[in-house]
Amino acid sequence: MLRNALSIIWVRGIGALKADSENSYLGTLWWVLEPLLLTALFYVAFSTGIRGNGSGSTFVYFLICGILPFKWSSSAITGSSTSINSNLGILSQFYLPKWIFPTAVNLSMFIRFMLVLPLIMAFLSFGGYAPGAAWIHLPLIVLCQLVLTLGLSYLTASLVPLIPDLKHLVSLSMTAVLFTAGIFFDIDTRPEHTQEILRLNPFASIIDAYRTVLLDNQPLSFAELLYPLLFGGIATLIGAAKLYLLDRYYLRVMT
Amino acid sequence: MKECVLSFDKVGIAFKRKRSLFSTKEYVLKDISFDLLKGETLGVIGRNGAGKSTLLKLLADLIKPNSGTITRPPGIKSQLLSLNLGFNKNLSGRDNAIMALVTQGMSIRESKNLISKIGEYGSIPHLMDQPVGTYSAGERARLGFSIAIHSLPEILLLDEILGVGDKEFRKKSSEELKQKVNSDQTVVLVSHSTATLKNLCDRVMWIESGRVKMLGDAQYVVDAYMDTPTRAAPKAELSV
Repeated sequence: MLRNALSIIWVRGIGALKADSENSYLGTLWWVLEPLLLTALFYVAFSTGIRGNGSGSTFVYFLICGILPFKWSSSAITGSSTSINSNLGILSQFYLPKWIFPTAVNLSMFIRFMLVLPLIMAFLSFGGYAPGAAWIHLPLIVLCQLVLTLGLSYLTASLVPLIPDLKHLVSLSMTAVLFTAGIFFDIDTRPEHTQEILRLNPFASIIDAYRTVLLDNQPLSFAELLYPLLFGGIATLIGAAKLYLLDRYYLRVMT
Repeated sequence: MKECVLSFDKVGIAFKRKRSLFSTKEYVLKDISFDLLKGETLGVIGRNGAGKSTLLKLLADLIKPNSGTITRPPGIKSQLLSLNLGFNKNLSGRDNAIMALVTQGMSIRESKNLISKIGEYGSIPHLMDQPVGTYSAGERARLGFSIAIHSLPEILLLDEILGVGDKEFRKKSSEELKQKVNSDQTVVLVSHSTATLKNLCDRVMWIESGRVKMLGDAQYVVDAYMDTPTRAAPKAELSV
């Protein structure tokens, strides 16, 4: 049973990537091009004349460590939230465990990020942030972000089919997270009280960790990752439990 | 006596008509009990709204009943004949076929081995590497049917016997289905065609207002069904 579920996740995850690359002239190139353009866009918007405090060149590296990892989580979570709905065609023909769908979305998004991560590292190396010993900690941060992303994916995937209204809130919440996770600014520079509130966002610690390792080449403080890891772990448990308990309930409300 | 592969015991199921906190549940099926025997073809007949589609959903194990129990031995899969498992138009026929077969429980290796057979059966071997989006409707139907016939579950659920594709393939596909139905494949067939039910089924179950009104020999039940006039209430049958 589990073996088959894993095969389905694999085939569907890879299938989605394949289909995506066949869907445009530049194909696979877009996986790399899109994050690059996004960074360029934010760079222009936030660090050049438009915003006006010309600390441009360092800011772009600061930005890239935040925005690109965040993009992974945000696409995975938004994609997962509608994954059960968009597979209704198959689901109304025969039974499949529902957790397969958000997991498959997460697989393809994870693979895409695995292609983007070396790009980030190369870009930083060229910019004078030489790879250091601390970069060894990178897989830990990625793992922690994976747990957090999967947890929130399960949670949204399990709720959206029951309460379709939430669909509108998911992408809005992701934007809210984007603006509060310290992607465009350094949380440490904010007033004490604001910092406390901003640090409730589990993505803030993750992005902080990326910067500690990649930009400052400092060893990771594991305590910092504990919060997002716990947050993600609990979300995974609740989300997975909901998907499991309601497994044969979704089709009742959806068709 | 033959082995029983699925049994319903006093099954009832209720739905809310609207997505609202205050709407009350309505029972669609109230008291359904029957045994499905291995290798038999069980027909289901009933007027519109009698609960036939809901019964199929319960048989396919998509939803759980509100009352009563459904017992099935482990490892017995039941599913609707799925002609279109949401083909991805950007992917080739081969990739779509693998995805569909794996989704229906095959291993990746088994499904890869079946690909050439599927292409040949649907007479579309030359198209298997082309994206499904470039197929004609008929070619897509051929692919769908070919996949379906190569991945039959233990219990096949049919909502009408359908042929697909152009004239030639329609004949081939509906013949093939009839042959499956007549072989030792276990089938539940829902149909409005009394002739089909009489020809293909061993037993027929007649459902009315959520209960089994009659269950037995196909000929006998179908005749009884035809002899009973539809209630004078609004005639909902549309001829489309």
